[in-house]
Amino acid sequence: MEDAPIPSVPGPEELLLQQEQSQRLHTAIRSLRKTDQQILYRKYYYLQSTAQIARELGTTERAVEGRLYRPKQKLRKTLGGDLL
Amino acid sequence: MTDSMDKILIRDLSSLPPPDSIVADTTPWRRALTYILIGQVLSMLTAERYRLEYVLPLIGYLYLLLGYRIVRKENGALKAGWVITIVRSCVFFLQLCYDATFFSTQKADILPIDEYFRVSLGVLCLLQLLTIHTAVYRLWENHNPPKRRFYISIAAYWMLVLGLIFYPVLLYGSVALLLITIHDLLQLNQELSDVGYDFQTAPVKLPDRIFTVLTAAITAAAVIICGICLRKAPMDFAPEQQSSAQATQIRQELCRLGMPEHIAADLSDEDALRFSGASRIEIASEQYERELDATVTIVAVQVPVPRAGDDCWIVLNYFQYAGSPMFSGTNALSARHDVVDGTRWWVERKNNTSGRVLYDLNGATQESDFFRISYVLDYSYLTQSALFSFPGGGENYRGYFLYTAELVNQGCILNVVTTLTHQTMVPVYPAQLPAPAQGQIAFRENVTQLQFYPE
Repeated sequence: MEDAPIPSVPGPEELLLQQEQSQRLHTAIRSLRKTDQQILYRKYYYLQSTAQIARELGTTERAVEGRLYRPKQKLRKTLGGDLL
Repeated sequence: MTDSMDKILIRDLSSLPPPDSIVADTTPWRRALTYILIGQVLSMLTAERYRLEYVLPLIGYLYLLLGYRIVRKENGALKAGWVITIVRSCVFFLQLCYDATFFSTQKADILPIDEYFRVSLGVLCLLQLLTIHTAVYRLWENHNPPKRRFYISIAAYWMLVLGLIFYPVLLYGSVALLLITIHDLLQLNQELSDVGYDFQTAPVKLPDRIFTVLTAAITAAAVIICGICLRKAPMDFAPEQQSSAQATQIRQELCRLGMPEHIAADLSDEDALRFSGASRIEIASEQYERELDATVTIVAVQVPVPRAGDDCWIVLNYFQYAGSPMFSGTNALSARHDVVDGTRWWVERKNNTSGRVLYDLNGATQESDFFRISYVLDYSYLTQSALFSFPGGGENYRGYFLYTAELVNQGCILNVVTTLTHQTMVPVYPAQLPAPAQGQIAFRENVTQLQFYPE
């Protein structure tokens, strides 16, 4: 009988790294424009669909995707390659 | 496709709630329901001091517009409430503009327009309360609606029907419904937040602040424009007609008896003929109150009457401005005659008083009747008040009105107090009529009194 693979639990070092990363991410998000922050929270905190966001902001889904793309690019630039 | 960036954002953002400003923008319906509540309460207040009867509803309608524009798509009742809000706001806007004009001072004399405003706003307010209540019920319908709300809805609709017949039902019913609505809305706001209700909000292009400033600016501009353009009484000026020979002769006779020439010259032919057979003149021109650069003169002329033994006088009240003053509104010439319930003097109120106003324009004289002459019998005095306005650009502004008074009791005094009330440049809202001796801020007065014993 073979043993089932044990799911990997992040070690203390990894947890610390994640916490630091999270903090830097939050700082970077706070530095974004309010409209960019709002759209990020709608998508990743409230988990609203692109269609719902478009409807509530009175715009198109394509425009919403564009408005999501720009702050994400900014975050990637601000935080360097650490996130990937 | 979810990339690693998306996973990180989902993981990290979910661990920390967003700032309050983001929450407010993402879930604007909470703010909207609060605005609707505040707006409905303020729009129903009628405090009649310091112009609060205008300010509070104006703020209320702004709140209602700001609130409904966000939640109007959630259900049919909120959509109906949005439409009613727009209609109510338009009616109130029209009322604000109307109250800046001269016509609002005429009340039921022309049309009871202010009654139309009051009734229509009252009915719309009640309809709005019903739509709010229905909207609350619809929102609760999705999860465990208590039975009592169904019964309240039935009661509310019956109250509307009865209230259209018996006004007190409408008034007290509206207050009761408002209190229930306030309670329900506050409870609803909390419950929907707790269950994470997904409200369907409508897109809003203009931020609240810009919408408010824009709406307030447009309203203020409209009210000011109406006040400037429509604050004067409508007059019908036309060039003066040539005088007849008979009237000219009577004017000369009056001058011979002592009437000032400029006053006699300003009498119309019809009025001059009333002085036919004049035998005596008494004049008062000293003003015991003088706030204007103008003169007020009272001339009493004894004339014959058909019935032998009676004593009959024509009282002529005359005013003349010096220079070319600014005419910013409606003015009045009024005469208060001591009649003591008709036991001293009898002044016929029908077809007895006549007069006109005149001014010179480019060397020609323009004349018009007064806009209106009103009569008030109060504490043994008969007060006659003639309203008028003048256009600018002319000179030598003057006018008069006269009436016949019969002496009933021999030995009684003739006592007349004449007041010229002039509206200054002080802006007045709502529009006011000049009221002699009332100490109105926007008006200045000159007063003259004539007293003598006819015998």
